[in-house]
Amino acid sequence: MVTVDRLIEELAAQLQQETNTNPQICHQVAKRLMEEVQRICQESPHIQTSGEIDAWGRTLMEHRRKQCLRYYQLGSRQGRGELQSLLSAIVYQYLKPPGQPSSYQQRLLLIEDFLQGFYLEALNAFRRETQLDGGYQPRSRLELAEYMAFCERYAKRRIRLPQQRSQQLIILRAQAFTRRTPLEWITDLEAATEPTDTNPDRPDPVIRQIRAALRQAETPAAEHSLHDTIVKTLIQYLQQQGRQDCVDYFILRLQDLPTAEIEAILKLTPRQRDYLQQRFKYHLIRFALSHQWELVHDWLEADLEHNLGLTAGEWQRFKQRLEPGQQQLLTLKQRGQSWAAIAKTLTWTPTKTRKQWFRLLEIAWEIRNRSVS
Amino acid sequence: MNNMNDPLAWLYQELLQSLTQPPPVSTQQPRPNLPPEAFNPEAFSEEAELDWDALLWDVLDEQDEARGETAPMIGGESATPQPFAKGDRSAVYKRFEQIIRNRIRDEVHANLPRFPWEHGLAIDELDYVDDFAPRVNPLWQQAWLPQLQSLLPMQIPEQTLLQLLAACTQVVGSVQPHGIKMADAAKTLFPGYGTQLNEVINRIRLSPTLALDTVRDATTNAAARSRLAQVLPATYQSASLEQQMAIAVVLAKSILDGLTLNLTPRHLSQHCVWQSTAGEMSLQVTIDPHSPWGQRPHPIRIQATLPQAGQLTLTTPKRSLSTQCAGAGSLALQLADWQPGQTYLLTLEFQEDNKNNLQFALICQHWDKD
Repeated sequence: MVTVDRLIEELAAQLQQETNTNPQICHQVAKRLMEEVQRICQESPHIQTSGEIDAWGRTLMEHRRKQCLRYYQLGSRQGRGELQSLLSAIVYQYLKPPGQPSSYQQRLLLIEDFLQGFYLEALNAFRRETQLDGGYQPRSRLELAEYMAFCERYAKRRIRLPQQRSQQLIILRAQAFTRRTPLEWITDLEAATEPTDTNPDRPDPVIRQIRAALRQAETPAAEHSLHDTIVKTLIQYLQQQGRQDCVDYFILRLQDLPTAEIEAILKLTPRQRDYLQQRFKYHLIRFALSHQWELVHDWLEADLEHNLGLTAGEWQRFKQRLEPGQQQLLTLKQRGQSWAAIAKTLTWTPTKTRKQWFRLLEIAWEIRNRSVS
Repeated sequence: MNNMNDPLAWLYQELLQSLTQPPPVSTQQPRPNLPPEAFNPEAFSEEAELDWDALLWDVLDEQDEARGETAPMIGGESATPQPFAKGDRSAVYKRFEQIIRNRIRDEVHANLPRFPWEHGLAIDELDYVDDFAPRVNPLWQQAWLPQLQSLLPMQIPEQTLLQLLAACTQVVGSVQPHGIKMADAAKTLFPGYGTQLNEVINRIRLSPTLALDTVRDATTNAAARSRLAQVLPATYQSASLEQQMAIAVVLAKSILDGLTLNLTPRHLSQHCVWQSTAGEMSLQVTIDPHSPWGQRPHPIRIQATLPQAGQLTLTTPKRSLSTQCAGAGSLALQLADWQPGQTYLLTLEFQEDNKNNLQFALICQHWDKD
């Protein structure tokens, strides 16, 4: 069983090796990190009951060591840039002038202002928890790295909420900040920023509903829900198609961001965004019709067992429109045969089999659509 | 490319519409994170309870991501994001965060934030150096380690001892009270902990065990030494921060005592011994009130015995007096025109490379005899 002091010595030695810092400072930084880890080990019910206190202690220490050294290696300028970017991304969705459509530039201003207050809170917390002087400030590169790493950890601390939930500390602060922001300030801000979009966003009920659905996606909810699977599978499919841009577009749309803001984030002109939107639609439909059609149709309650969602009359019309090969295909599918077996029976290539199926579904949809109108 | 005919457009609409309908309530599990609109004022008190366990998983998550084992990295910027891991719902939101983070970087780096103590600083004032503490060349004054190591009956790192010696050397010649010098020297070991160190010093003053006389006795008195050894931690590294501070203060006092030669009417002679790697060095200063020559003021006589070649230099405001020896032996200096209460610096050079100097402060208090 290695003693606490030994661990501190080890860490101090590692820090000294990796940085060109006075050993005394290394020792103090190591000691402060260790005390933070000790506190967690003492307070965490899981660790206390796990019987693996040592292992957890080491894991947490290693995590902090790496984190500290990462900021050290990035240096003062890049380090703070990374910290600010990271924290900005966490609070982005939570800092929005209330009662207004959001804009990228507006959010940036809010975030900057908010984070200044946050850095001060973190500094005071750091001084308090480590019992440093009220006037302490980082002077060496390593101490600055220590502070930046602390800011990140402090931001990510989880606060208990009712019903076994928790929220990251910085998000709670951001919410409070938004509530406290005086309305006049918001109005000034608006006046100061350029008008974003001359075309008001067409109210898109579809997108609004997507947003509601995606709120589910923010949380680790039930994994077996079909809805959940669709979102993930669609994204995977888009990635397989090499369309990371469509993935990003989809994700931003699901956050209910207005078009102009999406354009600002993705750095697109309206024309480019429109093109991207078309691409996305295209791949979405391909996905729905051919890639995971059972999944989608099941979800839309339009699977084969339910005649692809067609009424009896529609179903007759549908079958009449099919070519002989397609009719055979339909029958074999109804029997539950695999693609490979079907292709063999029909003496088609797998590609042709799929394409014919795709065509078949299109016809069904066509009929269904016409009936619904 | 297929035409976007009407049925397909309709399919698209229907598909997206269905995508947006939230799943039945029964499949929902309690959500650990609240959506943006929810606001919980209770979570704002200072005593808001931390969810310790939750952050453990975050740590593991970050580590896994850093190793590339799961969904998009929080901590890094991969050019091609990792594929979404199965069953990882929050990967979608993590990807969103990453998009924002990458996008916002440009603005951030064009307008870097200042931390609370940096307000008003220009960009080129934001660079931090590696080592803020006073530069202590680790090779200096190593010759005197034997003395330093004998001060307390416990193990103390060489670097710490040398750092203290350097700090004491810097303050020994100043006109501040002895107690202040001692505190200043000890503080160099604990930058940023001034308040706590002051508290420690106050406690030492009140503590009989660590009474500084006790410590001084311990260097000569074996019984006192072993009593002290029982109180002290075995090694410096195993001591708590406060204990280290106390030890540093005690050491600083001992070192300063060994570097200060204070002549008073009651102490006409001061003597100190410093153990070096080459042997023992002894230094004696005397003022003889009954000098046969009847000179006034009585000259101060300085005598040093060196284990090897060296030089002794006394610096006064007007000049410096120096004497040297080529090998082991004695050196003597005499200071006739001294001022009461004035601090004189006495520098002992050991070997020629200037790295093992010892600096003493010599003071003769007011003298109103004859």
